[in-house]
Amino acid sequence: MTTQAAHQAAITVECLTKRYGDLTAVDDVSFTVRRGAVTGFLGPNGAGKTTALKTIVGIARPTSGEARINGTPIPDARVLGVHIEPTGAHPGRSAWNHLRSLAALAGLPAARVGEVLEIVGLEHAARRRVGTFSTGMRQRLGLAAALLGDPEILVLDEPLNGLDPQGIRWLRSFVRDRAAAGGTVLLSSHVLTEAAQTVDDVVVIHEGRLAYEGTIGELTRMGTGGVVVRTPTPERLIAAARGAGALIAFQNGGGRLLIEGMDAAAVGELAHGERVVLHELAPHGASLEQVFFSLTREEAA
Amino acid sequence: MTPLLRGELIKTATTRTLLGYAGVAVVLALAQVLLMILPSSGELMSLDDKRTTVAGLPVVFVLFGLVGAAGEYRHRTVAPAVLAAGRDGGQMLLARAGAYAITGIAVAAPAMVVTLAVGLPLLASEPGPALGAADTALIAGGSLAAAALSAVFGVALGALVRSQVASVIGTLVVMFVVLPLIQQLSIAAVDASQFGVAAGLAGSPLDTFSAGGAGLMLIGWTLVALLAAVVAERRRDIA
Repeated sequence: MTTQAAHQAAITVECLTKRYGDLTAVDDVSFTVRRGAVTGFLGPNGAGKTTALKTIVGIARPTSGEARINGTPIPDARVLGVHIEPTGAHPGRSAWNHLRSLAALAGLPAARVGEVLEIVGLEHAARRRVGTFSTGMRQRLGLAAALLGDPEILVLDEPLNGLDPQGIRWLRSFVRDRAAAGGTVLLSSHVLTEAAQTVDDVVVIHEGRLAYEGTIGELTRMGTGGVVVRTPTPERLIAAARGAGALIAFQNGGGRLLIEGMDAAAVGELAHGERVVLHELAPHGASLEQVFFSLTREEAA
Repeated sequence: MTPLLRGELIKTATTRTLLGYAGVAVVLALAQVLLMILPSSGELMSLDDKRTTVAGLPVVFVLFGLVGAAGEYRHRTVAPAVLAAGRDGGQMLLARAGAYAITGIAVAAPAMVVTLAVGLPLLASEPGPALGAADTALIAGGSLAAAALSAVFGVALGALVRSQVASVIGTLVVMFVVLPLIQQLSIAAVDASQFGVAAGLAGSPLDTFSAGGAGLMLIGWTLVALLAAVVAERRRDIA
């Protein structure tokens, strides 16, 4: 990490390892979270995302390594806002009282409770007991708690889980607005395509190890690609493409194929040589999910 | 009042648990007074019997602190509190202990009022030495202090065990199985237990300790348990 990068980093994670007995949940993970950016912390279920986040924010002790937020291991609610599942609210306590207690612990005025409830759209449920909340409402409550101190850094664990489409859209624009205003957001998700619309940078972990760190644009460009063709005689083209070492990724109605392992020019020449008529020939970028799967497969191998 | 203490007090006072314990404490106090007086009404009562009749029930407050503190882990409310405050788990536990000491007194006070309001007139009509104002004040003050210290002890136990079910069952087993067995061997050992000295401070006469001695022993029990819990809290994951 360069000095400049260290200066810019809102969160620095160095050689972080977390073991529970024989199980290594997080294994020597290092990365930085850029200030003023939204960073997706991605990985399949069980990859170690939540454990890593707990260790980063200081509610789990690392076995080795360290994480620093704005250069300090335990920041308060004015610096760092965290929402990690579950919400951590007593089911018998009202949303208002839950947030009021957290505001008091942080030394914040009680008036802030009303403000954050309004931000997350829960003002109508302020006096309801948390035990009666839906999953989406609990997510919003967790987010409200994270926002109490109006922190410059937000760490959100699977924040889109349980939100309805309107909630997802709201959260995306909210997170983007925070970043646009200079805030930093680290959010985890096990669904890459869901997070891809929101994040600038991506950190992928799999089986506790770092699988990728870079921008979402770089990740998208990592795709192996392929060529989409449509032909009235797909059988001949499939045979010829396989003979040339290509993979036929899918075939559906109307003779539409995805050929992997050849570029568009090579497929065009092959079709010409086989006298196969093409109705469509276009390069096809690999989907983010495909890149995600290939990253995690490689790491698992 | 510090922000940590204020926050923990809000947490303690904003569930129905507090009211539930207040109700239980009043009912148990009333039951103790009536069961100690009515079955043998008219028989000679010693001063110790009369003191025991209006003594506090500090074990209720061990369970109050224990269930509350272990419940923090059951409902995972510790992590948001630590994150909001930006303090370590040990500091949060100390604040929680302070909050439970205060609310312990608040819960014990109505039970004590009921005990004295019902018990003193009934005891006055029973034969035997009269319970004086100094005795009554000592029992009332001792009961409130025992409630506060027992609640803190319960918070420490709850933080050490972290499981409501295991800690409550463990406490009940100690109370109803272990201590009676030990009592067969040594009354002094039972007197010296947390439950023994808490009862002693709350007004129940002990063979081994005076009320003051019991108070000092209870402070010792509480400090040791709290220290162990703070050390454990600093070494273990919050979530």
